[in-house]
Amino acid sequence: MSHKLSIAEERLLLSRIRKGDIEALEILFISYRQRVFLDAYLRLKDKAAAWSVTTEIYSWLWQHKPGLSPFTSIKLMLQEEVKKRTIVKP
Amino acid sequence: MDKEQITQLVIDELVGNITPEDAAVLRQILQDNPAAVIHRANVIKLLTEGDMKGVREEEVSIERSLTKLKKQQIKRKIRSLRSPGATILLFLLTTLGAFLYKYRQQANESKDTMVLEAAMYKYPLLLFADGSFIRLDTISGNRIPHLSSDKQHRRFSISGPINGFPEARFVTPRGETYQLILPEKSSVYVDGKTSVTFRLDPKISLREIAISGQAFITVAPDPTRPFIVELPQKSRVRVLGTSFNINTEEQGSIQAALKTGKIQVENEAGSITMEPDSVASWRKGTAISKAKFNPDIIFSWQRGKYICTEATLRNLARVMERCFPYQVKVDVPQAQDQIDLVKRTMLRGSLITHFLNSTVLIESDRFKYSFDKDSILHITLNDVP
Repeated sequence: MSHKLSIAEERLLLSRIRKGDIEALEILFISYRQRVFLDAYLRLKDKAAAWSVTTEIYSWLWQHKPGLSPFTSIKLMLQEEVKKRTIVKP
Repeated sequence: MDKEQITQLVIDELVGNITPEDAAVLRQILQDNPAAVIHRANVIKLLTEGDMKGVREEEVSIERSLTKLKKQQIKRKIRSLRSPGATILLFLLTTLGAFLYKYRQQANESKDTMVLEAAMYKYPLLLFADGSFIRLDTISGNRIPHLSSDKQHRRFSISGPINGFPEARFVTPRGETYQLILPEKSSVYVDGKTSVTFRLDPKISLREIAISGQAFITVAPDPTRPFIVELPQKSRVRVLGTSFNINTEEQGSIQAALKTGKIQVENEAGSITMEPDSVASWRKGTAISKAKFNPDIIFSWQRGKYICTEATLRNLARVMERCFPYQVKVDVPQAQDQIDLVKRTMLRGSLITHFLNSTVLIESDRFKYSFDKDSILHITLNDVP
């Protein structure tokens, strides 16, 4: 089950991710994984592809952690990433 | 109607992560727009039926995804280690590590050497090739394989290799005598400040020992395996089944006194075969001389009595160190190191000062003695302040 994060918790998580805290990313992943997966599935209609996009987004998050703004809405940010990745998919 | 907005709100609704505000917005949209109701129903159907029936939780396996993320993290760390900076840092760390290891090893060796020096000639020791040693007066029971002792720690028996070493050196303290039973069962009665080196393999074909100091050896009869005693100055005693006394510090000479059986004595100048009750003595490069001896004098050390007729203080000091538990330093120039040739008797267990005060060397007023803070006895010229 996903866990609903408050805005303050989201900001704290992003801040910790930027500092390289993998556990913070794990918390974020657990909280939003289902949402990202369902969003990707609705766009792709393929479970495997949706799963791949989901993990790809979290990998991208980790690799680009220095650029993450603590003032960005995580939900919107993830939504945009799903969009980007599903548009380029055939 | 904004389909994207409705889709995102329905997703939030499905995962149970919709805020009260968003839920109110969704309700309002659905009330105002019948098409939104159809769209919501389609989204829910897509995400809960068919391929997606009951798989929402399973499809995104947390463990699988987290493992993947952690692997990526490790890969990144490894990648960062491959950078030139990391290579230089790794090189520096390796060099530093090697230096510290060597320094620590040297420190340990130095510490071991200091410990050994402190114990040398103070306790009975069994030394090995790598510098390690066993204090034989502290062993108990049969805790060390192939090594045993009597309760008084006066008689040590060795029956085979110890700690994997093929050879060992037994060193006695000053003023103490011990009996050593070799692996091949020969017995060596060892005087104070004496070392005996021997093989630890009981089945070795050539029985060979080396002695520096004084010892009385009773060789276990075995005609198939010769017994050889290696001595200083390239000399040796070849034993043909016997008991005999060896003294490598008898008035500056090496002395082999035969009690029973037969031995052959060899040095650079030649060799002689000896009969019982005869003594052979020699110095470096000189021929071996043979004579009859008085067993009461030669073997008396085994009863704690040292009868000597030394002509120099340095030779006398060597005998004193075997009889008494003191290190003796002769601080007298070599040219003046001459004493009267009279018979002197030292008794093990008696006071060294008693011996010193009763001998002519002190009575003559030429020499004096003193003990320093480390209990080392110094003999000096009387006119030296």
